[in-house]
Amino acid sequence: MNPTDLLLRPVAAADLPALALIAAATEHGISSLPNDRAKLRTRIERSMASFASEDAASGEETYLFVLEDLSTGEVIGTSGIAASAGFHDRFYSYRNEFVVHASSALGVSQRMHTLHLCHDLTGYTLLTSFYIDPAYEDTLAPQLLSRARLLFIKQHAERFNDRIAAESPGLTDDAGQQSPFWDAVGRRFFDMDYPSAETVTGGRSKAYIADLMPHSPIYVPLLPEAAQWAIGQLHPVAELPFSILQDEGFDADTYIDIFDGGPTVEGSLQMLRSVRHARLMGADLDPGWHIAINTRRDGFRAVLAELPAVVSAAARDLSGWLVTPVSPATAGAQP
Amino acid sequence: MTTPYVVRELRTGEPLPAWINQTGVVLQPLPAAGDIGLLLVDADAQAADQSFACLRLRSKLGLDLPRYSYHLGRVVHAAAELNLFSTQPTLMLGNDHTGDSELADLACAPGLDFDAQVAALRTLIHAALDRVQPCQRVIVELAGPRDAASGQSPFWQGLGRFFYDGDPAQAQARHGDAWRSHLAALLPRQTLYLSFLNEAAQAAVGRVGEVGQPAAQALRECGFAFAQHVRIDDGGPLLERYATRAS
Repeated sequence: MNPTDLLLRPVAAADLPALALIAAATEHGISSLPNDRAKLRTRIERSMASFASEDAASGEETYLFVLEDLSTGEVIGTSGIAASAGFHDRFYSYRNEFVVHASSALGVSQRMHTLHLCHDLTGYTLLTSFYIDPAYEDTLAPQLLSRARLLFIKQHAERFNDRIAAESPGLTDDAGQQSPFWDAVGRRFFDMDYPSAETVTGGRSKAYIADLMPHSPIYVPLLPEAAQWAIGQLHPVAELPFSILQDEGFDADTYIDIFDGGPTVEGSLQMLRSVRHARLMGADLDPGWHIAINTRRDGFRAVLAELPAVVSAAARDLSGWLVTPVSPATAGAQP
Repeated sequence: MTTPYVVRELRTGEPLPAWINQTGVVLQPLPAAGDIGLLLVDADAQAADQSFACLRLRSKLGLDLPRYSYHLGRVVHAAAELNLFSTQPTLMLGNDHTGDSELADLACAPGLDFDAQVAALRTLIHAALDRVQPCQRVIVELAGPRDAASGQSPFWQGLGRFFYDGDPAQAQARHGDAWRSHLAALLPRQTLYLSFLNEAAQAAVGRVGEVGQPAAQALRECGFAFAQHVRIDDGGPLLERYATRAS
């Protein structure tokens, strides 16, 4: 595969069959794509409306991108953006806090790990729906898929929050049925197994569930060991997209998902690597692979380009495009 | 008990016997200033100090040393659309009994059988209630259960030990009554959902351990009842009633 054959673009109605295949292939709770054709169609329509809308952003917009391999014409990945986490409702997370309990009389000063139910990330722009065909994992495709979103947000900043967050799936058993964190926390208050709970919330607002959870801090040492261990732990399928977010400079230590304890990263858009290094296409750029986006919204396109500009396979004219280098830390991946 | 007996107050400077009280602690020989010590003694041998049982009445507890207990509460999590209605028991740390009167150091001489202990303590409890202002709330702490094999308190094993890794019995011996005020500083301040404790700890909440059984029986017969407060170290219950001079 030639990296220049990859094209990231807004999802279109014709992508429904491809998305249905992806949704069916991914585990429960791993992809935020619903495994339901009608719901998928709604997702696609909402995304198309969001890209097309000329109205001032309400925060309800969701943007879904698909990555296409032009050499085969197949959709090989998805990624998305939700403009405002929680939108008109609250967006719940657990925040890791360390409380020092001390008694001078007993000669004890002890750092206690606690989890606080919070709304801190409400209104943040959320990165969602990351999926890459496993055959493309070791290429530059995941870089384009994940990072081009950040340039899109920068380019259309008036539509987004300047703070960005992204959820990652936490530990579950191989079947995606048992989550040690859910079993120790959520299940006590919400008598359902983890997949049912995920279905009830439809991968969208969790506020409804969170209202049923305790609002006082959870003392981590009181949890069973398996649940303690699961706090902030990634599901193995999330390692690749997570490593890209870490490389961008997102903070992964503060928030976790209230369902499965997976890490929820957050950061300020301007501080993220791809955004800091973004430049308009020009002659003064360092050589090497770059992600390039055009400046359009509805006709958004993102591609990979090796600079100094060789004539790409698609023979694109990238003048006026916004480009950012593929991070050196991850550029070791074979194109 | 066959011999006639009477209640008398402890004389100034007279030590309490080294018996084990209703919380499982060996009596401190000299009661604190302001406390009234009551002894049940043999009527024929008042001068000989032959005593069967004792009790210490303390008024206005918690005014110099903060007294902590857990209030056992309930929170209902309901969601009609999900057909969910779940009642969650909670523990909340507080000083709810500050200013109340307390019956402490209920203890009997070794060798008395259960019924004799209950009868002796009942007499002392009545005598103590006669010395309390009407309408004043009177509380008594009782020991929580201990595991028969290890002697450990399941409630402590499920909660306290995560916040203090020393031995609670040693800490009690070293700091006396102040121990649990110090412990409270290490425990969570916010509502604690009981379901986060292990099952043995949950089951121990509000239950009376072996050592507290005679006192619990005597107190119930004297109108004391559980009022949803437990001890912060072993989860043993606090029983309470309001004083009247009717008796």
